[in-house]
Amino acid sequence: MRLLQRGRTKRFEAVAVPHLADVYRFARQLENEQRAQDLVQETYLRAWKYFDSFRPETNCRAWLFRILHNVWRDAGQRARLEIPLTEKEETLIEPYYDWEDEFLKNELSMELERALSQVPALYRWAILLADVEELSYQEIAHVMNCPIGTVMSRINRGRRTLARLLRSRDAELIKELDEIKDESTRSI
Amino acid sequence: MDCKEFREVLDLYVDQELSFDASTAARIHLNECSTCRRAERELIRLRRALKLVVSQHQPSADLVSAVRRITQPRWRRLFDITKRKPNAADVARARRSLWRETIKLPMPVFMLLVIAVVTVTVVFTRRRMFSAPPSAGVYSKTEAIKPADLGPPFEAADLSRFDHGGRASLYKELR
Repeated sequence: MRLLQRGRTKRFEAVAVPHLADVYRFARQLENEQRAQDLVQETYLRAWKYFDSFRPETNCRAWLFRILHNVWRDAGQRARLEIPLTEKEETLIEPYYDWEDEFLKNELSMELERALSQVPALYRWAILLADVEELSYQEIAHVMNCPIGTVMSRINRGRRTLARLLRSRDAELIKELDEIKDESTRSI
Repeated sequence: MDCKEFREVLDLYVDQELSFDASTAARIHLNECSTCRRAERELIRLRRALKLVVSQHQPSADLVSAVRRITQPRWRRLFDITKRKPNAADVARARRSLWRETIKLPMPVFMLLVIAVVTVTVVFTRRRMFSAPPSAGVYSKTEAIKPADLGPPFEAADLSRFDHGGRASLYKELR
């Protein structure tokens, strides 16, 4: 019995624990530092509890993100979604021409993180799983427990929302600079 | 494929979720259209930037040790609450310990040696204590009493009536 337990522990440490940093970084984009730590601990507690149900031939990272999604959902974060998603919004993909101008600057890490925090949580989940964790749409659908069409829609809308937030940040910055310029010319 | 069709599948193309045929058609359009090429480049830049932003955060050492403790039994987890993982300074201090520096012998081997020495000492001491010959002048019951040791015979009255086969009888016989 003790040997079995030791083998289970070793497998868990070899398979699940190495993804701790990924899970934490992901949780950090959803919550503040303390809440992210709580989410990660709860995720790993559940992962350890249900580790026997994990199939070794599947993607452990995706399995952990699915648990994280459940933990996060159970914590009532879904109620904090800023923009309510209607069925129409969920299923349609926007053919917007959002990528033509260069809205990304080299020194944008802070702005990008701020903009990302303003993206609705479910869109944020989708774009982080696709762009940062590089999971396939099938895996994202499994993690978020939704149809693959919904995943495509969320990724599409999430990226465009993020791009618009960054662009509006630029527009505000240009406006501020113009105001400063106007004031300085007036004072001269 | 025209620009409108390409924009509809841009996300799928960048995420490599398109079929081979659709992906080929998208690539052909990209070669022809500089506007769509720029759009694709911007989306790829956004992906890279997101990765960079997210990778800035690292889990604390406390969180890592807390997660590692999850696999331990509940009772052990309770007692390990205040126990922290040794850092590099602790490890270096342990390496410089007096024992390691001076004796350079593994503790179990040293303990075995001590036990062996004590056992041998006890065995020899006991053997010596019980097998030593009696020193001179010490009375021993095992030695026979020789007549010569009793001194010269003396005239005595007939003592046979005072004892029954005792010392008086012996003297009598000797005489």
